This record gives sequence, C-alpha cells and structure tokens, in this order.
Amino acid sequence: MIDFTLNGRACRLPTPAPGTSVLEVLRTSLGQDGTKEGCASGDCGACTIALQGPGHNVSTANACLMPAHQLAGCDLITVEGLADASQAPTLSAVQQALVSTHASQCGFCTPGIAMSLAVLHARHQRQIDQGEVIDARQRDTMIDHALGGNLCRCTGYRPIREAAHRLLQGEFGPACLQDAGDSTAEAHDTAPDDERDTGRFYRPVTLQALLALRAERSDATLIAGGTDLMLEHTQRLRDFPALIDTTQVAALGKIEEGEHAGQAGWWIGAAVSYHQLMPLLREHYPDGAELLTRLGSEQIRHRGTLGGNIGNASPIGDMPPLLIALDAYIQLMSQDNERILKLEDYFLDYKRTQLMPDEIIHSVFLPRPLPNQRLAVHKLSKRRDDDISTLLGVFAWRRDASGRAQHWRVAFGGMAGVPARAPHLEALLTLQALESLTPARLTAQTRQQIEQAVQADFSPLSDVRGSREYRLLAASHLIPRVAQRILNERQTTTSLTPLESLDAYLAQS
Amino acid sequence: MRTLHSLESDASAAPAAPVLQSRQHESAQRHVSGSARYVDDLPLPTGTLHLAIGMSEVAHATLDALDLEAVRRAPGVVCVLSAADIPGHSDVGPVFPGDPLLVSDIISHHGQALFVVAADSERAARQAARLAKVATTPLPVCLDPREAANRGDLVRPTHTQARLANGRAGDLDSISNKLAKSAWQLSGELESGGQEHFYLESQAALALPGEDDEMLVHSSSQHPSEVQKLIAEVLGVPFHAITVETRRMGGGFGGKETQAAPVACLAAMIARRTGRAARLRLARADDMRLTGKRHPFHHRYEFGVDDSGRIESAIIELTGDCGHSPDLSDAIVDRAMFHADNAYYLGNAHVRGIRARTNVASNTAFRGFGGPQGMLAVESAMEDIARRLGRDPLEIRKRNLYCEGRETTHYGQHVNQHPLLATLIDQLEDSGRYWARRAEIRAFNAANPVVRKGLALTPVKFGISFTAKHFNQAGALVHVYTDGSVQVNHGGTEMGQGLHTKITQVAARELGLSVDKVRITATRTDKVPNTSPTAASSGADLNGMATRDACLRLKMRLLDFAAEHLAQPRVSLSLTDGELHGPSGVLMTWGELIQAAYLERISLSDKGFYATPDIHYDRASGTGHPFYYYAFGAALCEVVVDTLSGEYRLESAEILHDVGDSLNPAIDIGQIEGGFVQGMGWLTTEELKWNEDGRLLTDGPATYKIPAISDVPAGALKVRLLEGHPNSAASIYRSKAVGEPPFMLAISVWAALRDALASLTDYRRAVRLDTPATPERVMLAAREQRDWQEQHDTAGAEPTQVPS
Repeated sequence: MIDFTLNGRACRLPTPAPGTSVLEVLRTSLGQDGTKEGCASGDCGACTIALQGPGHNVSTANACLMPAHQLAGCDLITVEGLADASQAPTLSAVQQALVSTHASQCGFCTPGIAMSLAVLHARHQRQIDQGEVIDARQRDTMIDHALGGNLCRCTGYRPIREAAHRLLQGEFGPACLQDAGDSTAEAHDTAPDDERDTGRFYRPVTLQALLALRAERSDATLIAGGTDLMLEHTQRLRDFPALIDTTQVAALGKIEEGEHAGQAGWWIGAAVSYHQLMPLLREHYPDGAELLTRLGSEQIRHRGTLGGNIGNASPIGDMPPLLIALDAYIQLMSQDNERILKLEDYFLDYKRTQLMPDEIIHSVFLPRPLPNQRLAVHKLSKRRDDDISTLLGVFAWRRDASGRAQHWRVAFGGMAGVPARAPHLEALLTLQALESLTPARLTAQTRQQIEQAVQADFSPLSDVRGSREYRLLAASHLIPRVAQRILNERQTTTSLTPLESLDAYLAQS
Repeated sequence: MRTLHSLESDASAAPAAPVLQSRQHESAQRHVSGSARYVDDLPLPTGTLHLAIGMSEVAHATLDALDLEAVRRAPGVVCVLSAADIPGHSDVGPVFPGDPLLVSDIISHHGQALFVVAADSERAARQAARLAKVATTPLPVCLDPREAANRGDLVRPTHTQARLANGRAGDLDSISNKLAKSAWQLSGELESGGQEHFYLESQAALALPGEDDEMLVHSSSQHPSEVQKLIAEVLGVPFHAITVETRRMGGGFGGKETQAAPVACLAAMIARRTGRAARLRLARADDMRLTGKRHPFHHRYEFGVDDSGRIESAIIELTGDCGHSPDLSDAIVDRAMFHADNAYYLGNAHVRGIRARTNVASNTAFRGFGGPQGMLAVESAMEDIARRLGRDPLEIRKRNLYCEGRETTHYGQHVNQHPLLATLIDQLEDSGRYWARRAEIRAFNAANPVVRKGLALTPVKFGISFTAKHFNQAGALVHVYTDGSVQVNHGGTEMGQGLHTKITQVAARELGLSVDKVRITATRTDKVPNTSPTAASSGADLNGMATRDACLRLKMRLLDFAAEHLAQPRVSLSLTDGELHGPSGVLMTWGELIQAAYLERISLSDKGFYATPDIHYDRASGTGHPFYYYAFGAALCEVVVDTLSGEYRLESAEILHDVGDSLNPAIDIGQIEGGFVQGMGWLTTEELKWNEDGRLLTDGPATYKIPAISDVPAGALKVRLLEGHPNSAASIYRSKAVGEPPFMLAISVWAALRDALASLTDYRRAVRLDTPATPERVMLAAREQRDWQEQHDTAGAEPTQVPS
C-alpha cells in the first residue's frame, strides 16, 4: 500500500507494478480525470500536479514521469483540489484569473497550467512575505520559468501571461496553496526508517541498504527523479523487473562543503535535484545557473537529479559539459569499494560509462571558482524553453595578472557520443590573441583555423536536432562569440561595444 | 398530470446584457476546474476494452503475411482484428478512395494501421500490439514530392488557373511571353515544411454498443456526420443505427476533420465484434506517426515586374506533398492556388497545383488548408523584388495590393472590400512607426556585426467558404422548455474556438434573452443530421445563421401567438430583456409567454437551416466565385537574430485584423493570437524529420517543438480588431470568420527574419529561407549572405544587377 494525501484527504493506494506513473493511477484507479495526458513524456505539462513533501517547498511535477511509489508520505494536489468547494466563490484565485483573462480555449492544457500557476503564486507570495521586492520584469522571468514546461496550442500564451501577472499582483486574492519553504531540517529524517520493498520498488533510506540492494538485485534499475528513466515505461512500454529509489537516502540528498585534490568545493549528492542545486550555482556560478533555467522545465527541475543526469549518460547532458569545464569529479561507490574519478574520464562512449553494475553514483565534487575564473555557457537549441541542446559549449578560463584569458577548459555536449573536452579549441584560444577572434576582425584564415580545431576535436552526427554541418559551424561560431564577450567585459562603456550574442542583447534590453 | 414550473426566478430576471460582446468561453469554469470532460474522461461501462493499433514498421511494401498469434496470446488480450475482419467497406477515404482502415495488401507509409488489439488495459493492448510478426516485400520508398511529380505519381490530377490581365483565359506560353516583356524578371524557389497539429488531446473514441446494430460513439471529431457515415459503412449498417457525439475536443486545428474517423471506426468494429464498450485513445507517438499533417510544399515562382516593382505577370507552381493518398489534398492544393496571390494583383497569372504522392501519412487539413502555403511564394517574391530594385519591401507590398482597377483575382473573383488592405497597412505603418523603426534598425544593424534586427509588415487576404460547395450548409435545432430555458444544438463542433459561446450569444440575441438562459448541448448526429465539418473557419458563419433561422421561426410563432392571445397589434410586439414588449410596455415575461404558448398548444421547438448563397467555381475554366467574402489582416513584426548561431526571438508583433462586426471580441482576439503563434511555430521551430526509410523521427514533443511561452515574450503580442467595417456580405450580424485567416499573419515573422538576413548584404540580396526557419536554417542562410557580401563590392549600396 502507498499512503499519501490527495487534495487533503488520506489516500491508500494498492501497490502497483514498479514504474506505474502517478498519472496512470490518478486517471484509472483513483478516478481523477482532471489531470490530462498530453504526451506521457514530460514535455507538454498537461499532467502537471503539485506536491508537498515533509519539509519541502510545494513544487510541480509531471504526473506522467513520477513513479506512483514516490507518492508515499507526500501531499498530492491536483486541479480538483485547487478550489475549496465549501468556500465562495467556488473557484480559487488562479482559476478566477484564468477565466477572467480568457486564458483557456480548448481547455486541455488548462489544468496543468492552473497547477503551475498555483505553485508559482504560492512561491511568489512567500517571497513577498519574506520582504522581497519583485518588479514586473522579474515577474515575467518567473512566469517564463514557471510555465516553460506547459504547452498551449490554442491561445498563443498572451492571456495566460496576463492571468499570471494579475494573479501575482494579488488581484484575485491570496494563493490557494501554501509554500512553507524548504525547511532547514533534513527532509529525509522524516522518511520511514524501514527499508521498504513495496512491490519490487525499493526505497532504501540508508546508504548501506542502497548499496546492498544494488549488489543483490542485478535486475533492478536505479531511479531518482525518473524524468528520463520513466520514458522506458511510458514510451518503450518496458516493464521494470525492479526499481531502486535513491531519493530517500539522506547522504545522497545533501550538498556539503569539502575538499578534493587540493581544491575547496562542494560534494553534491547524486539525488540532489536541479532545483536544490540552483541556489549554489546562482551564488557561485551564475552562468551555470542560467543554463539550469533552460534545463528541462520547472516540473523537470523539481524532480530531476544531478546523479540521474550523469547516470543516463546522454551525449548532451547539459550538466556534464558544465561540470567537465569546471574540473568536477565523480564519486562512485559499491558495497566494498569507493573511487573518485575526473568526470571527463567517467564517460567512455555512447551511453557507456565507468559505472560498474554493483556501483552507484554517490556524489559529484564541484570545485569553488578560482580567483579571476570566468565562465561562458552557450546552449543552442531549436526552442528556448524546455528543449534538449542541439549543442552546448562551456568555456571556463582565468584572467592572469595582465588581464589575459588563460587556462582554458572547454567542454561540449551534443558534439560526440559523450560530453567531452575540446583540446584543440583550448589550444587555439590559448595561442590566439582574442582581438583577432572577434566577429569584426575574424579573417578567413582564422575562421578556417577555428573550424579545423573543431573538426579535430569532434566529428558530430546529423540527427533530429541538427545536422553535422550545423553543429560544426555553430560550435566554431562560439569562439568569436566568447572572444567578443571577454573584450566587451573589459570595456567600460557598454553602449559602443557590439553585442556578441542574442543572450547578451536580451540581457541588455 | 404535470404542473408547470414555477416562474419565480423568471419574473425577477435582470435585464439581459448586450449579447454581442466579450463573454467568457462557455466551458471556461469547467476548463480551469478540471471538470470539462473529453472523450477519454468519460466514465467507462464495466468490461470496457482498451484498444491499440498495430502499426507498420516499413514505409512501402507488400504485406505478405500478418502473424498475430503472439498478439492474441499476450496477457489481457481479448480480441484482435485485421483487414479481413472488416464487415463492410474497408476504405475510409473521405472524398476519394485510398485510405484503408487496416492494410490488406500494400503498406504505403511507416506507421500505417495493420490491425487493432483489444485488451483489458491500455498497457496490455499497446504491449501486445508490438508482438506481431509482419512479413513484407519492400517496394521503393518515395519521400520527395518533386521526384514523385516528375514520375507523374500524383494522388489527383494537376489543376491550373491561367488568366490574362485583360480577363481572358491564358496559357503558359502566352503568360511566359508577357512575363519576358517586363522590365524585370525574378524567379525563385522555396521548400515549406509540414506541421504536426499537436492538439493537446490526441485522437480518441469510445464506442458503446446498443441494441441490435445500434451504436453510440463518442468521438473527438470535427466532423461527426462523416464519422457516423464511415462507421456505418465499415460495419455495413444503415446510417440511422449509428449516433456520433462530440461534446468538445482538446484542440482540432483540422487534424480531426478526417483523421478522427479511423480511430472511431476501429473502436466501433471492436465494440460490434465483442459486444463490449471499446475505447481507443492514441498515445502521442502513435498519433504523430499514424495521422496526417499539414502538407509540405515545394514552391517555384517567376515574376515579371515593372520599374516601380509592380507585378505584371506571375507564374507560380505549387507542388503539395500529399502523402500516400488523396484524403483532402485536392481541395487543399486548390486552396493553396486560390491564395497564391495573397493580397496582390498578379496581372497575367499562371498558377499550377500539383498533388504528389509520397510514402508518408496522408497529409490533411490544417488551419488555413493550403492557404498559408499558397501565400509563401508571392510573399517570398515581395522581398526578392525589393532587394533587386533597392526598395523597401513594404513599398513593394503596398504597390501590389488589390486596388481600384486591379481587383480581380487570377481565378476571376472580384475582391470585395479590397480597400481594407490599404487601410490595415496604413494604420499599422502609422501606429507601429514603421519608417522610424526602419531607421533605428538600420542604425542598430550597422553597429552590430552579429546581432541583427529585422522588420516586416505583411498583409493577409483569406477567402471564406468551403471550396466544396455542398459543405456550405448548416442546421440547428432549438428547444424551449416550459421553464423558459432554451436548449440549442447545431452541426458545429467545439474544439476550443468558442463556437458554442458565439452560438449561445446568437440564440440569446434573437430571443431577447440573457445568455445564461441558453445552453448548448453536445454535437450529435441524431439531433442535427448530415452536417458539414467544423472547418474552413465557417463554424460561426454557417451554424450561427442556422441557429438564427431556427430562433426567428420560433420568435415569429411566439409573437403571432401573443398577438392573438393578448389581442395586441402584431407589429408592436417584441422580445427583449427576457420580456414581451407591446405598445404600452411590458406585457409578460418570457417564461409567462412560453407557458401560455404551451397551454395553447404552440410548438416550442424548431429547426433552422442555412446555405451560403452566391458561390460557384468552374474547374474546367479555373474561374468562378468560390468565396462568399474575404477576411483581411496585417501584421508588423520585429525580430532579433543572432547571425552566428541562428538563434532568434520575436521582439514584437502588432496585429490589426478584420473580423467585420465582431460576435465576441475576446474570443476573436484569442483566435487571432493563437493562430498567429501557431503560424509562427509552422514557420520557425516546428520541424518534421523522417529518416530515409520513411520513419518519422520527430514523433513527440521532445523532438517536435511547438512554441512555448517565452517564444511570445511579455508585451510582444498586440492585437487589435479593425473597427467600423462590417462585412459587406450578409453574414451573421456582418461578422467575419476568424479561425484561419490570422494564421497567415505569422508570415511577417518569417519575412522579418529574411529582412534581418538581408542586412548582412546591406539589403542588396534576398536570401532563400526555407521553412521552418530553424536556427540551423537561419545560421546557414546568414553564412550564405556573408559569403556573398565578401565576394561583392561592399563600397556601394546600389543594386549590382541591371534590368535584363
């Protein structure tokens, strides 16, 4: 049995097969049809639900990608639970906002949009209560981030944005959900203390139990947020023999300051979600945080984990190229062994890694930024919101005493079978004067040198996201972009310097 | 004996609000609370079977053997049916044959339906469907419509419209000769990609078997009457045995005009065979692989223009990629041809439409129905002409608009209200500060080698009516009950466009009631029979008129009765604000009138009918008056492009659109905004890709990218309705259709992208930009522009080519 609350009422669900999604149980056994299936792949947001776990922010999730077993101990809120039927008016603030702005047409995406907005409203209210001042532009960004994973095919989004604005400005009353804020107490302390097997879905709470299960059940698959793995269930219709959930293990859910290879930094547990990682990156690697805002959607960022992102060994990966450029390490663990590798050595070949069958990813070591270290992260994708990178280039460098950029570390995703460094580009950036690499100064000869370096580093494939030709050219075009950016940053007057990228334009406008 | 309902609430009814105003969608409260039911949300009877379709893994082959043993033996499977099990017709082609419900001999696209599995759960059915052993012999796979056209492999014959500027019939020779005499000749070509509908609710049907051969089928369909017809034919029963109901769709956009029927037919077949309810809802990937999309097109054009940039002659060849069967392609390529002029007078014109057959799912209706594709060639040419002549594209567009003396299309229809085109453009040019912004953008671009801005103002003219004449009819059924409440049913379907809301407003206005007295019920083939699809933007035009007709009949009867019953002069009576008014004021409330009429045995129910007048088209001569009227609009868009990565963003879109006198401004603005953004998706990020074996690679939202919220930045989209210009045709309250026309306003986004790319050559060269203009295409086009610029003298900004 899985015990949780559904819209405030205790609910006890007979244990389903491992991999069964929250969406499946909502629409079948629980008879809750308000939550819609649009894609069953976490890309449309029609099935967005809200969750509140002990000590956790209220957050959104794609019900189609969340294993039902992970509901245990959660408060689940669906569209049916937004309005309190005993209150008048019978619609909650978010619902009134959507009706008043004509923000639904066919209505199929609307429940999911209402859920995303309800959670945004609660979070916004908490921030206001904490004394933050949020202006219209910041609200726009919050709205973009909150709704980037909710597709609407009818409205063109303008009225939905209007609904969101008027909602956040308090026109329709207080938020219908409460956002307690992440408590400082460790969330996992409240998890059940037994190592439970609920129908071949294991939820160990200690590291020892996790490692033992990993050794015993060679047929089992590790699952954390499930945002990638669950596609095996929903798209490829694979029945998992067994799943081992890593998210209840306290040690994997922590970010701790530490040291490795003579560097200070942070040990980030494999089960830390993107969302939990955000404050750290915001403070120390703001360019990395910007990338994170374009990784999946809010629903995905709430559920997806760093360990899962590395574990699925996608050639693109978004986080690995960033971490490789930042010289990160990965800590692997089995019952009787523990090893730490440079992350760049972890990936072997397409979907092949150093991870042994009895091992788990325990954590990632992210070094602190060095003095004068700079970072440029460039993600190219067909669409800005919720899209997998066609290619991702991450450039890290340090300014020496004379202001020159040195110590380049360049890593790419989407250019090879694995996320990888670009040694030829690193060499070129070290040797060439940046001035000669800017778009205005670039000669045909230099352009050719860059293109040759890219081709020496990578031999990308053509696929659904882009052709080999585009990938090679676009990657080589990042060099003048980065060069111009560095020169622009040295300028004192920004108005006369040419913009190096669309992102720079958007940041300025 | 029954007593009449108490009218206490009726007597205190507040005066009715004016009905033709912005009113919320009739289902808005249900949408936001999750209680609006779609087909897949309906409660299922005990024992309902869940279905999945077994689909082809090859694109073109003979089907030699279909071994379904493993499917039948799979856990939970109850019934498996293939082509041999179809009791009646096996071809579900909507107009022409060619669409087998299940393949019996030749597989003609990857993902085509081979068999249907029914099991006790959806998952069991879907898993079982993958267990079939299919023996096939490969046939050559054709994915290129031009190659098919060259081989003469067409789904329908080619159609040509050829007319000289003097109104006489022309031919290719005569028009080529005239074109060669113009001061300037330009030619170009273009590929435009298809578009997946991506209705959020995938195709779904629930079949509920009744007594004997009767069946009720809930179908997410834009065309319930066609679903009824095809189910009856497939099952081999009379139409009267089958009832199809559609309450609402979670989006349609044309994708549920013909494509809903096979899903419903398969559910009905299983229900008939097993006697159990049968539910089929396509998983997203299955939906995308199985069902047709917007037609990709290949466009070729030649224009002869004078020194001022005015078109004198045009030769346009449009090749539609129809997929494996005709489906609606004949009408779609026709509509592309009807819109090859967009808003411009072509002079001597030769327009040819080719319907090529390829081994992909049969391409089908999608908002605009070929019209958007038809417009691309001439809009591409507008920029080509501008760059060649060193003029601004807006100047060229304005010079070519339909105007006095140049007001007849290449198919011979006079463009009514054509001065609105200039009105729209002038207003936008002014309110959007076109020329000031043009100067600002040039200055910005001069200072920025990488980031470039583009600006474009483009018009739309769209013909309203089904080009299949018999579809231009509609019926409605209006009941008044003895409590005074009114129930309206009509042939149109609700897919989110607000049709039911508008129809409610029409009925309320005619009967002098507030809209809350009127309820629309689900579209059902047993209430209004033989209906047309809700398509071609015609829903409110046709069904609004039919509803008005029914209401007028009822009103006449009630007023006749009241005149006699109350001994009042008939002409002095009127129904307003829920009351019967006479010469000296209120005579009785609506409810009292209804109850009095009932007691005097006056019928309180009536049906209405409407057929659009004055439309005809002669295929043999390629001339006629296929459209009752035209709807117009214009959009001014600004984009910013990163020319090194190809990334871009819409900066602003200002739209002015003509809906005549609006039936509901909020709903009309919603249609315009939604249509524009959907059109922008078609032209920018929505890229369909197949591998060389004909398998669709972009079969889900992970790889197929429709616009998301930040593609429409805050404050970027501003829509206004053109006011003070009622429809010159006698449409419902002089309104105009609004479903499709705004889609094509998005051409301004593509034109603005080309404008930004032209800046890389000092506006001396127009670059070909196939659609969708993905960042990849934009970057490669920018590269081409830079290469050209490097090879040409950059000193002078004058055009380098001379008139030929």
